Amino acid sequence: MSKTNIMFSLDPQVYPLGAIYNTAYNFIDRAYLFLDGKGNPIKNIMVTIKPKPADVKINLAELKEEFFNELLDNVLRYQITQENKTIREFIIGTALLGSLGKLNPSEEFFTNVESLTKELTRAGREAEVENGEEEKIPDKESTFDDPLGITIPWEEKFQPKKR
Amino acid sequence: MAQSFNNIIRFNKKIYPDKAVLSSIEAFKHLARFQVKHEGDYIIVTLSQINPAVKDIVKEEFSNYVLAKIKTD
Repeated sequence: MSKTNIMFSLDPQVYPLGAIYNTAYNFIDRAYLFLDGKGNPIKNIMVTIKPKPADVKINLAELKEEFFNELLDNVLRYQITQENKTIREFIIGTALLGSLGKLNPSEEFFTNVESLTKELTRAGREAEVENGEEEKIPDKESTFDDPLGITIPWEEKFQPKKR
Repeated sequence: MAQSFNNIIRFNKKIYPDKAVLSSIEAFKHLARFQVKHEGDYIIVTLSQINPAVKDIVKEEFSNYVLAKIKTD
């Protein structure tokens, strides 16, 4: 441990990289962080933390402990996100199919996410064809009502006019 | 910091995606001149002609910015 920064290694098998990113992000307002990896695939992630000049009096050991606490929190969030990923996709998928009027829970595609995604894509295309809708990018020529001037850039709206 | 010597920062490609590093350079280009080189598993970023007002912190701030970019992109 040096005086100005603290360095330690993390095992990505225990602490996933996604959780480390999130933890590091939570600290960037107070400290400078740098990550490096050893091995291919990475077996150790080296974390270097250096307090910002305004926080030089901060205790490095405390900062490290805080980092680990935050890291544990993020690992848990990461795990829950991963575990619930399929359920989340399934719920969103069924909700979208429901909005297209294709909801029938007895159908085969409700048994797994992959078939649900396929069905969703198919139903979406069908709906587009039925409604005669194609992806349209509005151009400047096809004007629409904008009574509040929302589309006018801030600069144009509020910048004082040059004389 | 461990992996930044003088005005060189070595970003491990397995941790720092190219996109995050390059877009951060775009954001910091008014503060220094950046040179990017790929060397094995690393992206080597060399800073030169650093704005004197930020010369002490630009490397660290740049590294933090890259981390933030990974999270927000």
